[in-house]
Amino acid sequence: MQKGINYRLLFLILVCCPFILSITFHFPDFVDAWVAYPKLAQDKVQYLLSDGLLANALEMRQTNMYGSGVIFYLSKLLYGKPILYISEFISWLSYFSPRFYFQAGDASLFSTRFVEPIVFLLSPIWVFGFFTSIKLRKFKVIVLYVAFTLLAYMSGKREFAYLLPAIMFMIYFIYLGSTRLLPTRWFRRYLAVSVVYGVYILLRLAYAINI
Amino acid sequence: MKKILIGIFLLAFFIRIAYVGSYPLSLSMDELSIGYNAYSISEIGMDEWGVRYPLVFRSLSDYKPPVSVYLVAISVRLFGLNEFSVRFPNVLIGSLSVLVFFGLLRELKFNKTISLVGAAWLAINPWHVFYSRAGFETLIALFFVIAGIWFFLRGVSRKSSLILSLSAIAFSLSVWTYHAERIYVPILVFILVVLKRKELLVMLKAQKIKLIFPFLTTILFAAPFIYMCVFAGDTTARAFSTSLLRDFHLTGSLHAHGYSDVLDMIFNNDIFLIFRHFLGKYLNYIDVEFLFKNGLHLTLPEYPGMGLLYLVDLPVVLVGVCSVVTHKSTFLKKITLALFFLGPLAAASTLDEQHTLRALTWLPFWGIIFVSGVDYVVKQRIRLIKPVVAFYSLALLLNFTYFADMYVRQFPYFYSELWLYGYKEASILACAEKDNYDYIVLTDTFGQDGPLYTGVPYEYVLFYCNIHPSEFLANGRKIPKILMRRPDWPSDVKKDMLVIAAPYDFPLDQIDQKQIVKTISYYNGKKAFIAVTTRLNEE
Repeated sequence: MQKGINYRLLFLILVCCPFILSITFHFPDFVDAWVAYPKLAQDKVQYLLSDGLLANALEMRQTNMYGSGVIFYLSKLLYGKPILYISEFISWLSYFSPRFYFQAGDASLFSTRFVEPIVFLLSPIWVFGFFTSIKLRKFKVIVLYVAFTLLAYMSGKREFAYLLPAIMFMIYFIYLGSTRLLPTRWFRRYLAVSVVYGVYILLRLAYAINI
Repeated sequence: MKKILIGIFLLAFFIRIAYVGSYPLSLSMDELSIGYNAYSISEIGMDEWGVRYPLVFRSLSDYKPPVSVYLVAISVRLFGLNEFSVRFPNVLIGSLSVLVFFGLLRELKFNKTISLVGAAWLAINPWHVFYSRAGFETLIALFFVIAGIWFFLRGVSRKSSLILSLSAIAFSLSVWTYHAERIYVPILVFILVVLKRKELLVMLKAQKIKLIFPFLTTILFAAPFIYMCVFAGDTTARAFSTSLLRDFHLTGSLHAHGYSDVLDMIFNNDIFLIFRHFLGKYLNYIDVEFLFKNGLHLTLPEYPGMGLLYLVDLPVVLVGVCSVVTHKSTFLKKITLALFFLGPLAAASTLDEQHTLRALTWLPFWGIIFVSGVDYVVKQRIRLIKPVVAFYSLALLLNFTYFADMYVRQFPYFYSELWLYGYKEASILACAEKDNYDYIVLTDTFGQDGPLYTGVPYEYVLFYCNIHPSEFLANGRKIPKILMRRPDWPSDVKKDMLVIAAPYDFPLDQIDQKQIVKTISYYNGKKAFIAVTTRLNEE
């Protein structure tokens, strides 16, 4: 694999990331969002530690089949805090689901509802790049990616502004995957199609904002 | 090994058949429609519309493929018309799916022990168990799909045109069983043929004539299907009624009256908008929360839920993904990738988001991934494997207990209303009382929080009152003395009637308590229907 950064490839990938344009236009709002972050994170931590999390589970404990008798403790386990924390963990994992990044966005200033933050054609390359980074034992990058996603999750809101650092790592994975696939002819064609589509999406974004 | 496999089959059968008549706690509208049509076929050889042995069954709002109805007809003949007989074919086929899945895994070159783990995984998988315990056609279609893939791979590896013919039969039957397979199966078969083209070409050269049989089998099944698609609207009606093109989120942005200018045509082109909408629905299926947290929709959104797979499957699935990606067998990689992309394809083309019924074709992919994960872990020869297995088994037991509770208690508590619980009792009451009144009014509108839903009570009356199909047809598809409509209290009160409707359909402050003949509640205790006689009111 080529050493050093392939700037041409990186530029082509960035063309396929319309969110960069949105962020550039709304950078002050982006900073404002992060200024509000500590308060949001504090609220999320308080929510996780509070009994509010248990309210619905307690209701279910009343109706469940193990709710009385000697196996009452099983009921407490099934509808108790451990299960709820696992449930929260799954919610965090869902921050890795591709729809947000490759189709929907959050319809905010940073990711309008007209275009996807990253063109969907790059989603398989993202997955491939992720596995490539495992294969190349780039665990620090993976840990940082996971940590930044957790940081976004702790805001309690699935918002683009908070996910941006994690998205930067996604772009890294796409870049990594692309460098591995670049020697193949089919990928160069695929990338060309992605870039053409990316330009179309950028123009669509410009058209939509103009509206 | 055989004994273990039989044991797994019996476990699957037991999980699926235990209290199957009672849970889910009410027959759904689709089950009723299938059940009564099956009864009609078994009694008079005609469906409820009087069509003799149809290939497409006209239902309330759609047209149903025939395989399920004919299977249920056999069951109804054996066990009579009841909840058990309607659900039994699914129980049996759901259990047999475990054996077929074992065969598929063996054909994918997993060893016997790992394939048994795969079979056990399917036996207790919540997604599969859920659809095996009710009369959903999709479960039977899935059985044929798994069998089709298995027979195809076996036929190619054994160079047997007979087994390939069996594959053609299985795939064809799946298309004749459920709508989603009409998109899924042709693409899957195409991919299988492409992946095994070399072996098939060798077979073609060696045994030209014999290979005609699978083709003939396919044509035999496909011909009437194509005929109906072209000349009768029945087969395509369902596709149009559930298509994502009818989604109001999409239709609002489409240009029914043309584009405003050229730029609008370029940047807001309808084809692009439709594709983007489809993409959103499709990617919605690739969601960890949907798969492991709340996909089965057994509880309300804010409550702890149940995913399509167990929570304990998650680490194995993650290992499985890595294992398949790095697997030596390119065929395994390619077929798994194909099953991954194809699984939600048909479901994403329809109106609903994250539709587990239509996406059931995705299940074999998750099974293969799980099995690959187990295979990988076993091959690592980890020193502490026994404690790991013991811990995993305990966690799995806990997960299964959680699912059992969700299914038996929480699901009925939250959703008995949506499963039209109460209509059975209401229908039986209507039939019992119809000779005592001039008319019975049975409402078609219900909902514990207001008139939010509309049902089809006549199917319940037909089913639970055991009205003979010939009698129903002779009366012009009407049930004498029972009116299926929402009550109109001021005018209804003047007649000799028993009115069965939701509490909010009556002016309860004007009704004497003695007039209330019966109160029917939902599973959570909220009132579903009350039966009110008009007689005392007249007096």
